[in-house]
Amino acid sequence: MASKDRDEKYAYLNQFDTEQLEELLRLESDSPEGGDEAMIDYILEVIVRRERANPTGAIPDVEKAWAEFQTYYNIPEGDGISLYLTQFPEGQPCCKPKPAAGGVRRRGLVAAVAGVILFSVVMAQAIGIDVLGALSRWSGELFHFTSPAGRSAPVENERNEHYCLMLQYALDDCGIAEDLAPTWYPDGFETAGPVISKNKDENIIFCDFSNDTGKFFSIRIHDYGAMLNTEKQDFEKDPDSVEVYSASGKVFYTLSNSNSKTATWSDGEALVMAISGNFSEEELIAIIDSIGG
Amino acid sequence: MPSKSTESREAIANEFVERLYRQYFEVLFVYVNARLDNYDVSQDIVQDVFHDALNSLRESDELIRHPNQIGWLKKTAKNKILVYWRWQRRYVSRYLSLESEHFREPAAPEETGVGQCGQGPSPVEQIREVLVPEDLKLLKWLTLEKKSHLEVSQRLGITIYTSQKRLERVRKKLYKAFPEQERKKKK
Repeated sequence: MASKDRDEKYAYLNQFDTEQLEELLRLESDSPEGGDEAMIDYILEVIVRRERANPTGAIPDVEKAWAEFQTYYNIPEGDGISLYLTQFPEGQPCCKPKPAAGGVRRRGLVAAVAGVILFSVVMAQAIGIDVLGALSRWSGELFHFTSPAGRSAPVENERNEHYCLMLQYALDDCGIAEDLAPTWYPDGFETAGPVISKNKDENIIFCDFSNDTGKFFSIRIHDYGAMLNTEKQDFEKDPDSVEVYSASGKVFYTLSNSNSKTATWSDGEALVMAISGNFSEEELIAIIDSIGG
Repeated sequence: MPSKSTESREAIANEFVERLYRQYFEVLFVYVNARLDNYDVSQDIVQDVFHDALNSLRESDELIRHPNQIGWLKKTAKNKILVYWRWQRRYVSRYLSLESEHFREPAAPEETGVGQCGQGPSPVEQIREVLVPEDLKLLKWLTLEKKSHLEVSQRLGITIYTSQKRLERVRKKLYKAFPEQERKKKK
């Protein structure tokens, strides 16, 4: 956008005080859609202009900061080193470009009986089942977690990185340290961003995606906290449809239900993640492979 | 510019970063501080972004030819903020009490209680077993008190990169002592 056009478009922002502009800046920067960069730049310039006109000390003096930069930051010891990383030091980037495929497929078929319903987040009565160290169990009709298991993928482009960041922010907001944000999403799918539902004992993150051909999928992350209620979250499925898929140290159980596919994972303590939708199995696997990558 | 000497590349990199710095330092600071609301850490991060720019230019001219240099700076800052938040959440919410009393100086041995019969040590007690007092102090300053590396380095009389390396060492010790899958227990 040309500078003059931008200034005219956002001139109304000048009526807000600096605190209000900073709040708007925060909201725009954290927006699931990525924020209006032109507006962000305009706000930044207004705030800086005001501070230069009437210094309050809210912004460091540039000359002093530059001197500090040369004295403390730009020293030989710092060659090639960052103080604050842009990715986690364990080798897992926050959101990074596409990785090689990973994952070992293990097939495990289970005899089952009829019954079909997609994954739904349903509050179950607290039973206090100790899920630690247990194994997954499923009957013909229902599948639920009892045990944790063993995780992968990347971001190919700006959109993937954006979606990954949005989910990551939601996970951070809920205090979930587990790396669960996929870094790859099928082409053509869009989302308005994750929605967080919090109550006293648990948090739920919902993120729905859809495209313009009627296909959809959703990512649900349920943190039961102290409730340890993972066994009470049931997934209805087609007969003989449960398979096991491992990627990057996590074991997912994939289920099919009519035209939909679901992949679920749990840490066996308080977290359950489910990815489900009417997309292809290849797309589902690619999403799983990209988690934590 | 493959034919230029290392000295020339360094001079060009420094000159370019200084120009970039004077042009964008203030807007970048406002951008970062609006999200962190921490003057000193924001300044630390902004300085680190320009330092990254310098490191990048020492390797290639890509940033000089970049069509959106302020975009590059903001994106780098945004990623640093995200990682910073994750570390903060991981360590503050997992291991540290928000009450300063948990960070009294370590008690004398005869005063140290043991966990109740049948229960293991608390996370704070475990931290004290794994970290020496200096490490504990560093962790407290950088995570609980949210000090910048510049502040910590000036307190301890070390460089900022030594402060950063010490923090990494502390993180590795904690990572080893507290496996990744440990869950935060909700009250």
